[in-house]
Amino acid sequence: MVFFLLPLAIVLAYSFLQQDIGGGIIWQFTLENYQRLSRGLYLGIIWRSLWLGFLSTAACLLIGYPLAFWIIKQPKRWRNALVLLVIIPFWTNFLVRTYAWIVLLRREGVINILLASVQIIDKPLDLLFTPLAIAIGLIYGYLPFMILPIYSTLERFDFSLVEAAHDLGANDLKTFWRVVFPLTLRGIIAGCLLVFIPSVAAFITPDILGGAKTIMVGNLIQNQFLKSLNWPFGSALSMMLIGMILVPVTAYFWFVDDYLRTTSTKGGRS
Amino acid sequence: MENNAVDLIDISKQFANSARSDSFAVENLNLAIAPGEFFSLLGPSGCGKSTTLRMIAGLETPTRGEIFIYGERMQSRPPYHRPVNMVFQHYALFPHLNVLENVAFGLEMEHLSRSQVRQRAMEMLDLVKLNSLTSRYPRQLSGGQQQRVALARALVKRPRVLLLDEPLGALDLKLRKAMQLELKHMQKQLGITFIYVTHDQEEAMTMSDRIGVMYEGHLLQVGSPFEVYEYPATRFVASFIGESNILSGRVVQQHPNVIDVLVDEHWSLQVSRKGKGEPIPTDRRVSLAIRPEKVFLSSVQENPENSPCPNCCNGTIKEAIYLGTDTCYLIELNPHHQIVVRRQNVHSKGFHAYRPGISVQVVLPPESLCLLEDRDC
Ligand SMILES: Nc1ncnc2c1ncn2[C@@H]1O[C@H](COP(=O)(O)OP(=O)(O)OP(=O)(O)O)[C@@H](O)[C@H]1O
Ligand SMILES: [Mg+2]
Repeated sequence: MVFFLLPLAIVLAYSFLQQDIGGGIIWQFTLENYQRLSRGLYLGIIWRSLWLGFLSTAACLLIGYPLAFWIIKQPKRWRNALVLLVIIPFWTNFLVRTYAWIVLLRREGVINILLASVQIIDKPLDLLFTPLAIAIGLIYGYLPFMILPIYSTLERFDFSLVEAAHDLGANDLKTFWRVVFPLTLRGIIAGCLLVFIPSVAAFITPDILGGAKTIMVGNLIQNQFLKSLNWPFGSALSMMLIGMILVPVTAYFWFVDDYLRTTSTKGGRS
Repeated sequence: MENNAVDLIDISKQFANSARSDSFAVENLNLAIAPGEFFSLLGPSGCGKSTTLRMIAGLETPTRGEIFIYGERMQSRPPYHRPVNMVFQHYALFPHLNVLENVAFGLEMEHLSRSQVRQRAMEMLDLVKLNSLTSRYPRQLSGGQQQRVALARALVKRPRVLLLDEPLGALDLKLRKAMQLELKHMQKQLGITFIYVTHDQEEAMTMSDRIGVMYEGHLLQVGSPFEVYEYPATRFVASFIGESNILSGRVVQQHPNVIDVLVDEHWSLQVSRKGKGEPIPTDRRVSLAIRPEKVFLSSVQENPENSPCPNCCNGTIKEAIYLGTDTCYLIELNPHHQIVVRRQNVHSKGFHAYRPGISVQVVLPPESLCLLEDRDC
C-alpha cells in the first residue's frame, strides 16, 4: 500500500510546486498548474481523450460481447482454446503489435492494397496518423480486457434462465434485455472500466498511430515529463486524470457493485 | 386428434453431440394426452423424460416426428409461441427479480396493462399462498417457497398444458407429500392438462390419471395406475413399479383359460389367460411376474400333503423383515429360487407367525401371475 501511495503522494505534492528552468522545481506552493489546465488547448485535448476512450470502449463492447457469447456457446473442448487465442497477443510486446498496425494502415499498407484490389477505393486512404488509427489501435490492444470479464460472467450464467424466459413468452431480444443483460452487467462494467481507463491514459498508441497530429492526455503528460521537463504541470495533469477515473470507479464500487453481486448469483436455488 | 391436448407422433430425438452417435434419447414415441388429464412420465434417470417434455415445450427439436397441441402443429414454432408453460427441475427463477417480478415476467410479455399484470400476478400469489413474500428475492426463499414461485410463474400464463419436470425433486419427503396433494388439487380446480415428469413411482401413482412408463428412450406402457400395477406389460414395468417376483420359463401348453408354463424345466405353473392378449406360441420363452403381497403363504402342516394344489411349492423362510404395516419374507423354494412375500400385520402377533428357518407352503394363484413375453426390457 505504501509503495502504491508514496509515488502518488509525490505526484500530488509536485503538482502544487513551480517549475524551474531545466527540469528542476521551486519549492513554493502554487495553484498555477491547475489554472493552466483550464485553458482551451488542454481542455480540448482532455475532451478528445475522453471521447476516444469512450468510442474505443463502446466498440470493444460491441465486438467483445458477441464474441464472448459465441465462445461460451461452443463445445466445451473448444472454449479454452478460444480463450487462449484471445490472450495470445499478450505474449508479444505491446509496442511491436502497435507498430504492426502501421504496416496495415499506411497508404501503401495491407488494408489499402486490399481495398484497392476489390475496387472499393481508387486512391489510397489516409488511415495512419488519424484519430481513427488511434481508435483502431486502442480497440485492438484492449479488446481482450473486454472479452475476458464478460466471458467469465457468462461462464457463471445459468442458461436455463434463457429457456425459462423463452418458455414464458419472451423472444430472443426481450430475453436478452430482461435476463441475460442484467445478469452479465457486472462483467460488462468491469470490461468497460478495464478498457476505458487505459484508453484514456494511453500514450504509446497515439504516439505511434496518431503521429504528431493527434495528442491525447497520455502524450501530453509524457511530454511534460520527458520533453518540456515541466514536472509540476505533468503532475497536475496526472492528478486530474486520476481524478477523472477515480470518481466513476469509486462510485461504481460504492453504490452498484454490491447490488449486482447479490442479485446475480447463480440459479434460483439457495 | 383435435380432441387431444397433446399428440406426439413417432417422435425421436438424437443428440448431435451424444457419446454414441447411434443412440437415441427418445425413439419412436407415440402418445396422446387428453384435455384436463394428469399424465405422468415415469422412468429411471436418463430414460428421456426431460427430453420428451422439452420437445413439447419447444426447447428441443425432435429429430423425427410431429407434435400437435390441441390439434395445432408445433413444427418449428418457438417456445415463446406455444400454449404451454414449464416448471423447471431446478425452478430456474430469475435471481435478479423478486417474487412478484418473477411471476409478472410472463404476463409482461403479453399485451396487458400494468394494473392487469399486477392484479393477475397477485391473484396467483394468493393461490400459492405467497402473498406475504412478494418482495423477497429467490435466494431468500426456502426450497418449498421457490417451488411455489416457479409454479405460480408458469400458471399465471394460463397455459393450456402445464409441463412439470420433477418439480418436487428437491424437497424433503414431508413437503413433497403435502405438495403432491396440493398440486393434484390445483390441477383439478384449474382444469389444466398436466404432464408431470418423475422418477418416483409412488408419486406417479398418487397423482396421475394415467402413467407412461419410459425406459431407454422408449415408452413401454401407458395406462392408469391400476392397469400399470396390475397388468405390467414388460419385465421392466413389473419391477420398476412396485416390487415383483420374476420367474423365467417357457410355454408348454395352452388351455382355453390357462396357460401352462414350465419354470426351470421342472416346476409347472398355471397362469390365467388375461383378456385380449394374442396367443403365445408354445415353447416361447416367457417371464412370470407376481407381486409379493399376492403370494399366499401357509404353514406346511395346515395343508394335507396329498391334496391337489396346482401352483403350490414348499419353501423355507430365510429372512423376516418387519416393516411396520407389513412383514416381508424372503423364502427359499429351492437352491435356484427365492421369492419375496409380503403379509400385512393385521394381528399384533403377525410378525411372529413365521420365523426364519421354518418350512412353509407358498401358493402363486394363477390369476395373480402375469405372463410377460421376454423382450429386451
Ligand atoms: N443436450 C444434450 N446433449 C447430449 N445428450 C443429451 C442432452 N440432453 C440429454 N441427453 C441424453 O439423453 C438421454 C435422456 O436424457 P433426459 O434428460 O431426457 O433424461 P431424464 O429421463 O430426464 O433423466 P433424469 O431423471 O436424470 O432427469 C440421456 O442419456 C442424456 O445423456
Ligand atoms: Mg430430467
